[in-house]
Amino acid sequence: METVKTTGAAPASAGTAPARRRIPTRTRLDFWFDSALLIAYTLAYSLGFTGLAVHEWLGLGIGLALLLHLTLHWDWVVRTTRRLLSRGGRDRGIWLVNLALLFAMTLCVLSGVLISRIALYQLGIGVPGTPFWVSLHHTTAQLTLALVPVHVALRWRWILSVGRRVLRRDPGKRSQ
Amino acid sequence: MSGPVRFTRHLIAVLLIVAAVTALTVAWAHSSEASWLAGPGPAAHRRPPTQIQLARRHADNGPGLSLSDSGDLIKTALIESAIAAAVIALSALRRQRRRMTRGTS
Repeated sequence: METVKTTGAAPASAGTAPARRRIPTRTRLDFWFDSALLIAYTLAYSLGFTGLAVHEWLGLGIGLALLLHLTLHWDWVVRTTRRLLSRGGRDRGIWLVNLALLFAMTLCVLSGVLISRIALYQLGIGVPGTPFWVSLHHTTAQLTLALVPVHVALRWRWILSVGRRVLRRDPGKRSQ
Repeated sequence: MSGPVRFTRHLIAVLLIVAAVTALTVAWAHSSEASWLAGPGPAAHRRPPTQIQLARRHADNGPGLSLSDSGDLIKTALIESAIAAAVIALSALRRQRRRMTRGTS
């Protein structure tokens, strides 16, 4: 989510391959975890494709994954909020989008749980499923569809930079 | 502060925020302002479906992916791509403009 962190590392095969900077495990984890989250969200939003059962289980999984995503980036939240409160900052736009997304996603997952017809039923839990929660789920789902791509796109430089290095194949490894 | 302790503290902070949002929304759902979202009339006070109705709906919906309806997935991916592309284009434009301003001053 933040800047690209790299550490200096010795070249794998001295002399032949150029010195490459190793991607820290945490950056790698962020990249793959966030990619999986985006794919899961895209699938979950496509209710016609997934069917209700997969939609609900995916939604529950996304809810838990979002807690982890936010926990992993909590440092950024605190740091940016402090900076904004003290003197404003250039991350104001990103912070506002993320805040809106936090509310929209929380409400979408919460209302999704409360109108669940299959997942919670299979777990033996009865839910109210009133029209309020149905409307809230539809409204917040549409909001998230607008906010998720913005959230991703605001970090496109980080995604491009890390993605390029994560997905690049090591020619030395391939020949072995 | 060690890693697991730090992670736990952050997780607790996140859970508190989520709990606050949930509590506020539940309060909203039980207030008179709830009709603002759900709409007035008898639909807002309709009873939730019974367990038998839920079981019947479960049977109707089928358990797996409907690969034939991939149009829905493509539509979602297209909307996401279009919005992301617009944001990236705007961001690149702003960056370019900032560079040009810096270059002339």
